[in-house]
Amino acid sequence: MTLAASLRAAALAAVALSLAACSNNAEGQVSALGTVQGLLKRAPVPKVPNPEQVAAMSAQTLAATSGPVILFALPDRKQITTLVRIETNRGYETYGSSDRRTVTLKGGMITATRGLGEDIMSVDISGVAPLIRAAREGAAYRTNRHLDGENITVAERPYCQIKIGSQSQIPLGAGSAQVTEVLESCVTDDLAYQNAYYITQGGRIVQSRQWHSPLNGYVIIQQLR
Amino acid sequence: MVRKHPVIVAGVVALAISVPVAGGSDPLLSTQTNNFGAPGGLIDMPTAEMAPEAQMSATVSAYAIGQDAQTTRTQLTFQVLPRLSATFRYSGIGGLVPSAGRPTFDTNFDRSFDLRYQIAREGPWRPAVAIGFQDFIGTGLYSGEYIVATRSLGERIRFSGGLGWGRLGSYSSFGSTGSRPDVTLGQGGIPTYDRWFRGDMAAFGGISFQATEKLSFAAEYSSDAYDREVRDGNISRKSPWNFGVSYKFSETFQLSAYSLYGDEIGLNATISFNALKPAVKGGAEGAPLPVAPRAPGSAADLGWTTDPQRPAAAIGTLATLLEREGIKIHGFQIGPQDAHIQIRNTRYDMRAQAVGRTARAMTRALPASIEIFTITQMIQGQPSGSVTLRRSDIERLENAPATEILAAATFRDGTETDQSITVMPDAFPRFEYNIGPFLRFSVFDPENPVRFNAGIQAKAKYHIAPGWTAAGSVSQKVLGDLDSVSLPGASGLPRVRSNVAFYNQTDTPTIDYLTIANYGRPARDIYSRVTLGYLERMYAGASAEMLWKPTASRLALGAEVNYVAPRDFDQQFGLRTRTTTGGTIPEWNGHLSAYYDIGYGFHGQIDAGRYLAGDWGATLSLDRVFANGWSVGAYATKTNVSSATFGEGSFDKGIKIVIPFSWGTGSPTLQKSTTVLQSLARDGGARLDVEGRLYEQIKDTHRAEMAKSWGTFWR
Repeated sequence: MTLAASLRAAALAAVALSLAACSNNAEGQVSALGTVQGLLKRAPVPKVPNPEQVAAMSAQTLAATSGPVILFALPDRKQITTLVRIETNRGYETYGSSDRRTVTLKGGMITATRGLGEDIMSVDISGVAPLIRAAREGAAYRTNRHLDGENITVAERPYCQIKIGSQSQIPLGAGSAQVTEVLESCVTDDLAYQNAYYITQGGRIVQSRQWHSPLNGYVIIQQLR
Repeated sequence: MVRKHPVIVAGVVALAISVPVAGGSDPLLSTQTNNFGAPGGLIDMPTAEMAPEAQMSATVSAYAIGQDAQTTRTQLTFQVLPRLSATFRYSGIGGLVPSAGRPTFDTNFDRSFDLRYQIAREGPWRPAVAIGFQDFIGTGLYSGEYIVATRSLGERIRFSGGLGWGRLGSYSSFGSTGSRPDVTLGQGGIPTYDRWFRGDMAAFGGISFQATEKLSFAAEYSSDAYDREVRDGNISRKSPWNFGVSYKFSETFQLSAYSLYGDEIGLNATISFNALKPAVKGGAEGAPLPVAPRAPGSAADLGWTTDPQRPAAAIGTLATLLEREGIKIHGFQIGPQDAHIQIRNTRYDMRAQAVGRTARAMTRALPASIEIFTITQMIQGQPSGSVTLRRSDIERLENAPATEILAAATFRDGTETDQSITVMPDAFPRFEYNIGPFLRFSVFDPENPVRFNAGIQAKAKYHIAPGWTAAGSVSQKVLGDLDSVSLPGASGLPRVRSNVAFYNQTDTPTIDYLTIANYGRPARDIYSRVTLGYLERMYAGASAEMLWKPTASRLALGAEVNYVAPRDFDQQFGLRTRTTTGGTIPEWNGHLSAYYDIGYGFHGQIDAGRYLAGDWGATLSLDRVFANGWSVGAYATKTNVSSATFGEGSFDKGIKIVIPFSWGTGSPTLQKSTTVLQSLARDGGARLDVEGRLYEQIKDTHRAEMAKSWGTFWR
């Protein structure tokens, strides 16, 4: 076909398909242009919230509820928010945010996330969790499951080595706490990452940096209450 | 031989001195496409490289731009399997002289289809090897076959060398394997099997160099003599060497420039995307409700059953929770220990996700004694597939892999579970409307490859009662040139489709369809449809269909019978005469169909029966399907009409591409785009284009399809 004809067709297609449709069905509003935009767009870079804003947000959440609250940060995506515990089920605690994103923790370790993109669907940490919580050195396999581009579950089985790091005093809530740093270094064929957990004397993980996904990078969680 | 074919020697030397490749085998992936749209880093010549699986590229390449001899090729290439690549090409070659006995033209428009198969991947000491068929169906303007080997040197350099036949064996050939017939089989449109690997053969080769992540260079020695083009003055072949440079702007867009045969400059633009690489892997939609586990012992409390208000209050809570998820409650039945909810899923193309979110909401809304959850998906007001789960399993397996809840789920037919259902008051009647733009294409018309109409379309649907739907669509053209498509020549068959030009000439509002349909469930595993009215743009009448498909079955069998009357060209309320210049349009047509979910990423369908023009035959469709809803497939129809009557293109064939919008946006939606590229709009093998055929609507709610993406149940 002639170049001019294809260019003309493409331009008119873009115009026609971008016009929004009117409908009484909210689910019918997707346009072809929206689909293409979704494929091509880069997420806007949000501003890094300053410490005062974070402290104010935390104080507000702590005042509004009496249950457990965590501070949840995605440093690579410059996002930080507070999450409130909304449900527990057999030791799995689900924390939710106001913008419908959830993180499920078991003993402070991430077992699932929803709404972040490239979410962790489920994990099997029965090998590494006892070592980490007891702050004992050792090695074990863990399993992380997520959905691939076809919406099929894929499981990774990294081999993780647990090492004990240093002891330190970290600020926590109103005061501070004595914590031991426990490092979990995991390796698969494609990926290597290192999770860090800060455990109090009582065996509670009060702060951690845990690997999430290539899209989101590491997650930092601090237990505010 | 050494003097005449330096490239062969160079290739052999390169293969001999190359260092072993680290690791096992390397498929030599490339996201670049060459001047013929095939994956690879060279220019006109093929390589043994493959694109990543499920990669779809649209390539437009052109040389002699702006001149009489302008040659433009538009290609659609799809990596069907890791080792199989298919290319569909539409070329416009300027400046050619028509052959004796063939129709005359200014620009020769030609369709061609290629396949390439990678026999061997690159091993430590072995190059990757592929065989290919270029333009192997049809008039064979670009027809050629090849065997090619590609070897990489480090991460950046790839050498390729191979032997070609046909067009690829036309320059400086050194031998031959038999003689290559020149005559087109039938009237074109049939695989030219009598030519494959016959005739003169020649060697070709090339080297590609990836300078940076974005920039790459290529040089090749071409064995394509461009005989016809040189003879007619389209190009003069001053040298067998081609050179190219390619720049990758992003994963999606690439631009290349070539020096062709020392005579022309060629340009090439490629847009690529991949069915396995959505906008957001796993989706970015909001989180589901967490499962609310019951307090120990609370399941024994049946006190709520004495309160007549409790069931209604629970359903009210459930409806509010599900509303936010885009799921509507259609009907319900609540007992002391079991609950059955019929849902209308308006959002989730992954049906397992709709069922999963409903199950989660049910744990939060229903009284603790209810242990058995049954969730039925409604299609067109009738129950389709049903999933039964135990609440204890839902509570126990919320954080377990999705395969465990699949093993605990029971799939049944919706008719087995719809006793004592109370239908919600807002289920019927329901009215939906949608007003938006439309774009209608006509492609591959011999005189002008792309024509289109664009305008406004208003659609409405009125769900009157269970199974009864009235639907209509009206369009008004705003601009376009579909009306200047000229009428094709005399057809040996009644003009059932070839007079589409008359239907495109109207400037007043047109009724696309206006129907009343009844969908039924006559028995378990059986679905029925009857549609009356103005069924499609060209035909009114009645269409009746029956489908047998058990929820656990991969096989479905169907039968359809249609009574048609041709509509007036203005597509308003009138009908016109059945008499056409090719014959009388028959009143009855219909098909028996078999649908089979083959697995391994393929789906097949056979339809056999009588087509619109009264011809009898069968259509075979084979689709490459993905669990996220993508589908790329081809179909071919053979009828009892001889190729002499049918005209150019001995049988009807085409390509169908379905792209789910959720793949592009990252949020779930039921909408998808379906594109059918048909080789020709002829009268043979034509089917009625009625809306709402059963199989497409119900298959996603059955076990086989849901199990493919069951990982989305907990999403």
